[in-house]
Amino acid sequence: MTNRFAFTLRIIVILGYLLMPLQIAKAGDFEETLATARGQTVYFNAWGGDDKINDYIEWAGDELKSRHGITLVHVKLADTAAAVGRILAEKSAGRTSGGSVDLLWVNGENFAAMKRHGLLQAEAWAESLPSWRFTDAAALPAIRLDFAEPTDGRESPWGRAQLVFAYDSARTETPPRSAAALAEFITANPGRFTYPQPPDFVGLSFLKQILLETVADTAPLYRPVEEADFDAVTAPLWDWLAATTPNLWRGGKAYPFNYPTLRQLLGDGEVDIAIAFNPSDASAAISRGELPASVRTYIHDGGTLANVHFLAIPMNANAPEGARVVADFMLSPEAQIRKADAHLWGDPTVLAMHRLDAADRKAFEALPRGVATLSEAELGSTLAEPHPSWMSALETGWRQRYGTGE
Amino acid sequence: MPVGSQQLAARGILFILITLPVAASLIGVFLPAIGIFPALGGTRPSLEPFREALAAPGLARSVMLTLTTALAATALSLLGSFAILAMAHGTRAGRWAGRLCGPIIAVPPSAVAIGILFLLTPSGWLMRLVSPWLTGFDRPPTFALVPDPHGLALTFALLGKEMPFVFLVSLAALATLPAARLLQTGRSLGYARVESWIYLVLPLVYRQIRLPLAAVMIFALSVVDMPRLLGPTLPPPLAVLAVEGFEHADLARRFPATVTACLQLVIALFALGIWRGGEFLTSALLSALRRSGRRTGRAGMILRPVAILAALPLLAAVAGLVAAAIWSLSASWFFPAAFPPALSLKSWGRIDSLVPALASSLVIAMAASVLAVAAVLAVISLTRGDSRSLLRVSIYAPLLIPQVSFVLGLQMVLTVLWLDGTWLAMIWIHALFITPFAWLIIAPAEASLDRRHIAVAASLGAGPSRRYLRVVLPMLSPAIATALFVGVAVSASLYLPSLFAGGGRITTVTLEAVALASGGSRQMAGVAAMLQLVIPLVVFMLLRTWQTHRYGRFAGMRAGGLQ
Repeated sequence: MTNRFAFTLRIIVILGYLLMPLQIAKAGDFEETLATARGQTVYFNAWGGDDKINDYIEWAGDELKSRHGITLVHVKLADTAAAVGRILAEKSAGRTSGGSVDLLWVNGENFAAMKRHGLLQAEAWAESLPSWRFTDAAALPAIRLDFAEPTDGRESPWGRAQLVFAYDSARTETPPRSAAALAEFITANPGRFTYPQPPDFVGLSFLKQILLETVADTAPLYRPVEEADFDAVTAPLWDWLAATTPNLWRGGKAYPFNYPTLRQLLGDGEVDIAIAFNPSDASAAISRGELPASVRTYIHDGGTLANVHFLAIPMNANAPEGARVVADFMLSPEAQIRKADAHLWGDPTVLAMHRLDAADRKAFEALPRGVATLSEAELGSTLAEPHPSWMSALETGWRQRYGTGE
Repeated sequence: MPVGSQQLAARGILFILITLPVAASLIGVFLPAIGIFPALGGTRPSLEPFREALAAPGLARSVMLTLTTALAATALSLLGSFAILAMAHGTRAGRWAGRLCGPIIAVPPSAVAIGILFLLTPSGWLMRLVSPWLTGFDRPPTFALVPDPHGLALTFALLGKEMPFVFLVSLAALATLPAARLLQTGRSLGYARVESWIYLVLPLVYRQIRLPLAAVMIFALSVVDMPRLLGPTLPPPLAVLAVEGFEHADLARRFPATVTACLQLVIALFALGIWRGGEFLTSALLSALRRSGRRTGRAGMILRPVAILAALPLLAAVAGLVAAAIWSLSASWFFPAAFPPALSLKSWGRIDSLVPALASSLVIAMAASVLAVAAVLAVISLTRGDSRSLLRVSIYAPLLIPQVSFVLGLQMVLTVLWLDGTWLAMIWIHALFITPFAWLIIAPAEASLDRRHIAVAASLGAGPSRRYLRVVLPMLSPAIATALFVGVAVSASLYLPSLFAGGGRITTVTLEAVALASGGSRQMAGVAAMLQLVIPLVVFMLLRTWQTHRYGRFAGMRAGGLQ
């Protein structure tokens, strides 16, 4: 009995190997994917905290419906972790197909964790999408390296993000454009600066930004943290924090719990500087009446952290073909132009201008930018994200020093 | 099938419906806590999660904070409710308090927190009202009331949320007691009115609301969105610590997070133990006072300021709601403007796209509440005279389990049964969370029914089912109405369970509202709060209208009813 079972298993495995090239060839054939995708419903799990983004996804849904017969359902999340948790529970319950998430808006640590724990489609699908030809991984390596973690074609780039600071030009004349200048600013304006409390993503990104600016050699930060002498490498960051924390908002005894809360504090006038991981965040907030019209943004002279956000398909997606068609559409010049429009969303594109035809290039150049959004040239200097393992280590280090409010 | 085995089967089915998700969720929390979580590569028991969880900086303070805020919020809710009851029952102020409390119960905790935060911060409404003409501040000062490191703001907000509930259940309990006669007895023995309340009436009320108080305490222990906004955050209470682990991008953090969740469960039991000790001391003190026979008449002097102070968190919750309503209509509103300079309906612009969510929320809330009430009535009938039956005890189980840790195991059960993302699952899970509250409201009312009515009906020849339908149910209808309303309010506050049970297939107003509010816009948070409020409030008004219309003319039919 057992023998026969083992034999059958072996046959299946051998057959699987034999069929594998066939499957890859199939994936390359996008026409077939389109045909299978027709009629599918794609459950797109994405953060739903911004009306503009929600409207954009609704528009994409209408287009996908009329062009490819795909029904796109936006499952609005308050937090990506919730969707990851659901996939995890499904995997635990042994559901390897028919899962509840077809497409997930994700990047960085979340992606790394999903990859590590086998929650993603096993196949490399992203670079076989027709729209991939409009990108250039040589010019923008971050579309293949998500926080220094190779994407292995398991997620498709969607948009770009960069750490920017916002200030009220009616109140602050010259904002501090480096870690050192920021430290001086904090000393000169006690109680008027803070950052979101780690483990918040933007809070940790701020710590990484300061670390990148204060260390002598950034090379160790791009390798796994285990290979580095953590205490020695991060000493400049802790020194910076030790010097500034007493003069933070609430004396460093309390922190806003995420960046939208920090943005409110800027709007309220409680702090002078807000931090966001989206160059057009401040403009959008001005148009919503959450920040005064005099708010402007800036980045540090040495550049700020930049990364790419992606669309990933979970291992047990119910409509993987439909999800690929959606990812391809989202990467198309048409969808990317619309997404970069500050009136509609204002998310920078991941496409390479030199890979586009003249008309699309012109359309990109003609796009309106938000009143407080920096130009592409001003955003020019970027810092690559450190290896994702530094995130957790920095969080632990911060918690040990400041986690008890003493 | 003989009647006995039918009953047994019914008991068994109810028991499984209630305990299966709870047991699954307990296993779902406990196994990862000892390192077992195959999907994350944990296949062997290990103490590592314990070590990691216990190494969290400031854990002891987290525990202390969790305990003190929960105990303080519960004790003060009780004290405040009783003070208002003793000072104002039967007066116009008392009736107003009762009317105010119903709607406040329907306000989602996050809305109370946002409202109180907006009142009390240095850039908040109170400061705006007096700036700059009085304070000279043209920008907010840097000193701060909230967030505070001791959890005072949190306790205050918890009072705003919980005191209305305690007050309402106290009123419901009071309605089943011969309060007027007791007070008369007290007066005839020479006790002042307030003393009669303290010695004679309130202890009887208390006996009936012990379980609701336990529910209040568990809520205070496990609420997450309030401390996140109001602090303290360094370190945060245990519930926040656990949620952080569950929300962490590093999936391995779920191991220590489950230990924190287990610890929270232990702390909850410990807090209930402390409460029991407090009960013991208080009752000893009361007996001693009673035996001393002193009639000071001065109790009122102490209780009056308490009652007035107790109104503060209620008013703050209401003011917070008013602020949320104004925010939802404001174009922009910057410090130090006391009111928004321009109003706009922009934030309400997307409301049309939320109609499907409103409809599904209403269906889920009503269906789940009706099911929960039916389950409670069934359990009461099935376990008559057997107050320690396992089935009765099991009803409280969902109350005891913090929601965050609850959902993981729950999701696994639903997935295994292929029920995730179905209406059935959604309604089942909502009913599960509502059942304890329905029990807390209906069971005492049922226990205090005047059984002579049933005997009269029987002597007039009514059979058991006719007696139940024509006598028992109508007499319970005020309590049932209250239970339905509270059920709808509970349903409207369920975020994580809805997210997991709905699997993205079924959306509710709460899911939409929380996602909307996550963008950090006070305008949208205001809209979200109003949206979450709308269904419970509509249900509240419908039920109250029905109740006054149908039974208003019968005296003695108001036990446990809506105010």
